[in-house]
Amino acid sequence: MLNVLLWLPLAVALVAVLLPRRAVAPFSFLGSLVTLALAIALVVDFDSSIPGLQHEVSESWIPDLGISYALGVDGISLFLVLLTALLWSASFAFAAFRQPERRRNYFFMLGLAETATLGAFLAQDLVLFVLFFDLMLVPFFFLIGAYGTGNRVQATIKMMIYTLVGSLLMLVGAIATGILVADETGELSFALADLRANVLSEGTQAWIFCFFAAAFLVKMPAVPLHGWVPDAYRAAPLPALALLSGVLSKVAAYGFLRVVFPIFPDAAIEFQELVMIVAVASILYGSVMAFTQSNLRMIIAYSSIAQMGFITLGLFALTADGADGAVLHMINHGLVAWPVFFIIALLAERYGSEDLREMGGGALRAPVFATLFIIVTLALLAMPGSANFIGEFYILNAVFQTKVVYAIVASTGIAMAAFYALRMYQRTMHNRLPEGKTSREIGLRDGVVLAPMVAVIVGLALYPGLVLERGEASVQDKVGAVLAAAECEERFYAQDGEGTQPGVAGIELDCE
Amino acid sequence: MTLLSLALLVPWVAGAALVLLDGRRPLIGWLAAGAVLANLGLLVALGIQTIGGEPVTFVTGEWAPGIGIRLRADALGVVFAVLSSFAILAATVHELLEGVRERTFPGLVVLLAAGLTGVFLTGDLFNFYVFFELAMTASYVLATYGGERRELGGALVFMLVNLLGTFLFLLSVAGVYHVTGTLDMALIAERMATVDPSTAILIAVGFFVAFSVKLGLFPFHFWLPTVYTASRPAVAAILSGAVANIGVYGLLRFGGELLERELELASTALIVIGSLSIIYGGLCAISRRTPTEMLAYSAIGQIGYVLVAIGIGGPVGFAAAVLYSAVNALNKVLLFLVARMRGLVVGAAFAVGAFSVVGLPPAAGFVGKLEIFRSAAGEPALLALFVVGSALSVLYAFQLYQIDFWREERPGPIAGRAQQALVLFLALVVLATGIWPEALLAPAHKAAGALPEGLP
Repeated sequence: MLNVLLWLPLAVALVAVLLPRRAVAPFSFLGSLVTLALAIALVVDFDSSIPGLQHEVSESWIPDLGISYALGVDGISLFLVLLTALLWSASFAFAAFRQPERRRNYFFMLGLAETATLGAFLAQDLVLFVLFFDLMLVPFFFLIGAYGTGNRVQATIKMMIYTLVGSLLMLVGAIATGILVADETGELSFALADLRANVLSEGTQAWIFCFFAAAFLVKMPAVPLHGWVPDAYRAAPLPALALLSGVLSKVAAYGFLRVVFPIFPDAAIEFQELVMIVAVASILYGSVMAFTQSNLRMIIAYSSIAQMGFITLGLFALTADGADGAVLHMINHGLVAWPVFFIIALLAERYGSEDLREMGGGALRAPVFATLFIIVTLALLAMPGSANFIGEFYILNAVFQTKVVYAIVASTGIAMAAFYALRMYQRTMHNRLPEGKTSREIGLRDGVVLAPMVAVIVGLALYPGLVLERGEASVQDKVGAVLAAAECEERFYAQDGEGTQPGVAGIELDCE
Repeated sequence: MTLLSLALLVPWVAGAALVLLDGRRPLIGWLAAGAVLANLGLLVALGIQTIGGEPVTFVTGEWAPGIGIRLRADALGVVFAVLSSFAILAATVHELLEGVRERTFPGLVVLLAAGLTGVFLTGDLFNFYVFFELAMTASYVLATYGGERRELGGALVFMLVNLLGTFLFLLSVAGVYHVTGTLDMALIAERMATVDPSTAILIAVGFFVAFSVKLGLFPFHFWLPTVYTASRPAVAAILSGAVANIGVYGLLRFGGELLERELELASTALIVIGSLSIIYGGLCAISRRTPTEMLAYSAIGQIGYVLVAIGIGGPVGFAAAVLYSAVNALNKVLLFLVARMRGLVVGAAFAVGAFSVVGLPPAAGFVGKLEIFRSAAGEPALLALFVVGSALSVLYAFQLYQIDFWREERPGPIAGRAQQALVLFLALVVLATGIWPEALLAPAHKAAGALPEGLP
């Protein structure tokens, strides 16, 4: 099943290339709906009591190098897979209604990107993960470079350098991990399960952790590694940008949970403070920048930096609650970011610009549009009642328990989010209409795309347990690895015995 | 045995005959392509035999060893022979589709294939030299192909520098004969261990310089950009995809088998020179604005990785060197051929090549990078160097693509369908070997295993 889910988008894209021009967009969209249906089936079929992997696929791929083609889904990746399928369907619809030039190539790149992203979420082999992580870049290079606006060429090269240098470091880290583990076990394997079973020494973990963290923090993006963001966001075509912001940034956060915590638990503890500082800096910087911008894209760009800061903060609280909240917030942010970018596209069509100062009065004759927009806005600012609120609540709650200072500083980010989100809504939908512009209701086609997305936001707000329940066991398992390492360390310093003992949260300890 | 003799005889006889005929006639051209194809087919069959089983060795004409020519096909030789033959075939077909301009071209490429096959499959040092010269002579003439002032200028530089290289090589061959009393490679490998170290080092340096010149390693690279940019795309593809293999093969064969002790001594030097090549090639490539120039400097940089891998040595290092040079040869053939084309699939094919140079999946370059990183796993300084080198390659590869495809249209007519199909095929080969890397990895490991040091 995972095989079909993973390769279907690429297969559809390959077929679509051969179709007549007119059929490309509808066919690609229908194909993405099938992928979405498969992802939904995966969620329905999921057994939330199992912390480990389900629907596992494991084939030897490059036996000489110990690389396997291993896929699997657990409570963490389950909803990220669904999010990917959902947002990609939405982007296919978005693009299909606007019929870009050279559309065969465009839809092919979108399909390739979907397969790559799903691959990153499903991969259970470290090299396979790196491979898909890198592969995600390729289609976005073309989507931004060939279909972007403004200074697209420079934007792409900046993006490629930042992210590829990050992923080169990650590749080095991955290979080093595999080889160092092989030195101990005598067998070269990059399967995550094998790597996890043989944790490296603390010093080694530390430098490899830095390599992985560099790759993930660039991708996320986090301050101060966000240099590529403003240019890329300005240049990218909106259907692709919505995915870049909504899904691709999550792959990085997911990488921490999937790769870093289980394999480098000691390093995660060692660098906890540092990463939390980065996270808080991202929250503050992103929020402040967001309300100084007048370009709508840039507001969301900086807001994304802030929101990813919250997710990182939750992860590095290193408690089950924090990570639970982070997983939920990843979904939330993806669900909110996509509609916001779609709305930006609609606004830009109405006002001929993406600048706040040239907008206003949009709600005058567009009650439905305004309603949909306000729901998205409220979710973006994490209004109590929205799933975003619950995500941030979990995160801050966890951080308050572990590191009070960071929690207090981070809380100001929520207040600032309210400010920039409401400012965006008011300046576009309220106020007076600028000269020569008219307020227009959302069209049926666009409504059909936007309404379901908003419905999903509302649905998740009503029942966030959908994600939390299924994620809990797996999150416990991943964070448990770190907690166990922390516990071991404490006992080591307390000279308090060794060996296997039941530890915190019922986690089996195996201290050496 | 028959396969081995045929693999040599077919291109030799065919080349000698074809070079006399007017190669501008399509029939002659396609006959030449057929001869190279036959050569490739025979080599692949030979490869299946040797990679799966034992090396094939025999003395031609059943002469006594030492008098007759000793041929030897082991995994290392066959891998490079297949690779070179493939590169020549691709470039020849490309040029045939474009229209051959000079009467000698088809005959020369077949002779070049014969020379290279001989170099890779001989077990005798003097014959190595003979085949080496045969291949080089063919390439000197090929470098003039096109006949314009530009090509002739490049060819002159190419010939002068490489004649100097082969001269040094011959001196070293004489030196080896003097100290060991034999030209049989297997015997040399045995006797070299007892030779006075300082003499051996002198000989080794001679070989090293000869092969480095061929490869265009820093600081012997000065001829390479001039020649690669001046020659026609097909010739540049042949030079970088086929002729440069002599250098890698020579370093591996001579360093890994004949002069093991000296290779070990020189390993640090090799790593340093390789590192300089990586950095120098990368930096120069970034500063260039035309695709061929950038590719030429990129070739210098990429070969640096191979040298570092040879310097690291052992089963992992040698295998990485073989694999990386194979991947690099494929990339360069593809990129040089599309460098001056225009058309629908040209952009896509070029992107595949550029991504492969960078090492992005699913192109073959990813596997190459993986192997190279693996070979340096224990050395933080080398890993850092590889990361810097790769970052440079990211810069120039993307810059190249952007300058070429996003800024302005390339000049010239749109390439024919057949040419486009050819580069598309090459791009698919690059992709396929990335998706199914066993096809490259298994032969590369076998090839490394053919060297005493490379046995796992």
